[in-house]
Amino acid sequence: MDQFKYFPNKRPDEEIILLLRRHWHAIVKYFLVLILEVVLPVIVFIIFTQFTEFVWEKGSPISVAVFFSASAYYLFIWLFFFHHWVEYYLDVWVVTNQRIINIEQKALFSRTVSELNIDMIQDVTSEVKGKLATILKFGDVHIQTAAEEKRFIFEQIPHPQEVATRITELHIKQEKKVNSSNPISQMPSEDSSNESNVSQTF
Amino acid sequence: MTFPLYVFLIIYAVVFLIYVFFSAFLFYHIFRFGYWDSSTKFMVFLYFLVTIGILLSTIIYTIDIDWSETITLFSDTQFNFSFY
Repeated sequence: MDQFKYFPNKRPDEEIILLLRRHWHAIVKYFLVLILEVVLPVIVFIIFTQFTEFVWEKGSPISVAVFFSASAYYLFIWLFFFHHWVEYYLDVWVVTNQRIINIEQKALFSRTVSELNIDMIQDVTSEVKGKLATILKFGDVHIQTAAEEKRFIFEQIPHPQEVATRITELHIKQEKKVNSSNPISQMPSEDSSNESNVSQTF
Repeated sequence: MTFPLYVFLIIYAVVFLIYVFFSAFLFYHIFRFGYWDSSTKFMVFLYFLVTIGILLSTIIYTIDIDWSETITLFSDTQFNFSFY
């Protein structure tokens, strides 16, 4: 499988390090709702036939109406579950050796793709909140960028601590690479007075 | 209000067309933006299987139905189920 097939603007020498999706519990939640939606009408129907004079007779007008309604209902709850699965499946965070890409399927007709360079990262925080998250080992990773007030959030991903560590390692590696290729950046940084002089010149 | 039973068939056909329309959009997203890996293959297979299952059971149920028969909705007698 070509991992770069759907990858936006692949750069030269770029490698995928991590391809992350939400933890499986995110879709299991919808699956449990689906089971409830399947079982509940059947239970209601059984109770209804037990406590009323209604008799299910194949081919009778009322049973045709009920059967068609039930069929349409089951088609649509299945469609909604599949829609949730597509949203879950298309929400992807890709960490490469050069950048982080956040691909978010917000709704059926709303898709956002944002990216940031690894060397722009200022701070990486992992957060595991709640009993379920602790037991199932999932949580959020917050990535603060240097240039803007922008924050990337990897939501409900498995093993957030390991991911945060991996991103920090990649950031250090990338920084070293940039420093070694750019000798000016290796020079000792100028003091604040010089910086103010520069700004005055402009 | 009295309707012939085939009205339900027409309504169901319209509902199924809407279902097909939205399914097509979902599949467009999968094939355009997703990876064709084992979990996608499994879900697409399952989706078709369940859809065909529901459709087939409906078709089987409708065999031998007299579509010219009528149903009276929203009257006092049709949904007057007395509880025991």
